Amino acid sequence: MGERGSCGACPSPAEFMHILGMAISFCVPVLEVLLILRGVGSRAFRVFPLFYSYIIYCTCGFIGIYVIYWFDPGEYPSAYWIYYLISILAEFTILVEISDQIFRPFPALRNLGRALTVLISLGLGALYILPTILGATSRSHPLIGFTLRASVTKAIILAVLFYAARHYGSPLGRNVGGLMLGFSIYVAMNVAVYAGAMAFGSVLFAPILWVMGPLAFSLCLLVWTISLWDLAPMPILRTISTATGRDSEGVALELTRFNSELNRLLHR
Amino acid sequence: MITLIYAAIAIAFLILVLGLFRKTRPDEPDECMPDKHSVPSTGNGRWLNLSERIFDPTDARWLAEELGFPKLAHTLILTRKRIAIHWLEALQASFDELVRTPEFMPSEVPEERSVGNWQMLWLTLRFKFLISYALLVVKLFGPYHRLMPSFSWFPFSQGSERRFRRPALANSRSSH
Repeated sequence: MGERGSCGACPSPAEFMHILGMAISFCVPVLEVLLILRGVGSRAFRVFPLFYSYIIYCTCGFIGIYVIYWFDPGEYPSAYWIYYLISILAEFTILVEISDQIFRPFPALRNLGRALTVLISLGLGALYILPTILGATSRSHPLIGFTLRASVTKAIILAVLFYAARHYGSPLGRNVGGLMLGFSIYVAMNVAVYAGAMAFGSVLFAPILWVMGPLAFSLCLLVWTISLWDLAPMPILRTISTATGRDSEGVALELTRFNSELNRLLHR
Repeated sequence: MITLIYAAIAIAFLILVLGLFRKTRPDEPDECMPDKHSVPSTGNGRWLNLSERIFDPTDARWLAEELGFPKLAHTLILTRKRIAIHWLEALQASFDELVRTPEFMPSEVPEERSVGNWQMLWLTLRFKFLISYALLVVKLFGPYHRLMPSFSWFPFSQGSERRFRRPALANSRSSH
């Protein structure tokens, strides 16, 4: 307020945060369009179909939301929250994409990442996320709680995927590593910001949310754009010799043989 | 207080991610990979015969009951227990090596053979579970205890085994 007295044209802190938030928000579609165009150019669309579906959804959603904002501001809050809640669920497709890519070179484990992602999502969804909505008394509190718990769930899935990748020696290429790193930054920032919003109240925390939300997503998009600029092959595919690599049929037969051997031992 | 906890979760998560990200760099050797020199191949007939000897209680019984050397039989059982654990661990290491083997020519586009992939994942998890269980039982009760559950009632496992059984046998014959 004191600052306002010395400079009449200067915006208040809340207005400044609002303008800053808007400015960062406009970086989001720019990066998204850049990512899509580059994906078309490098044919990354074919390798990461779920990821690019999510980016297209976000771009269309962003444009739709801003059209509503300019033409029907009264409908904007409800439209925004619907879009936002769907986005939280749609973000799980990124995790599915990452989990599919991590174990793609290993035929025996190709679906391990997806199985882990689905199981953890369903388990924590039923036991940890849903109770915030079912036991809610006010309107804004459960939305923030839902977002926070969904972000914690995503962080847990990412940590498990990182651990599984390391345990099985899956080398994260530049593309998949970038996807994971960008999404980890976004999820970690969301956890911290929404925890603050839960503690201090959404009204008090709204200006910070207005800036930090788009900032987290912009940073994530920036990492994704850099890492997916060129389609890099998995490091293991370059280094592995043709003598040690197997086809999936051969691995299936070997797996069956190992299981039969163990069965024979167990039922002796 | 809850904010601090969540902030700590966020920071710890980022540190964990960055730490794991550094350790999964491709140019660094993976310490999880088993030592190849200690891992025998299951296609080796002598190695399989060894397993039959390790888990066969006949000679221990013969020592204890027919020759009347219970202490010697007990020592033999303890030695066999150690060898059995080593054998099971070697089998596990060999399996892990197989599981970590990348595909020879993976296609750029994700495959559509998802049912086969799920079956392979099931076989992998089933083996991991059973070998862990077998190790636990051998460590607790020794190599001559029979306490293994049968998963033959599970329809998916029967189907997947039946599907691969004939080529598997053909493959095993050709390898000997």
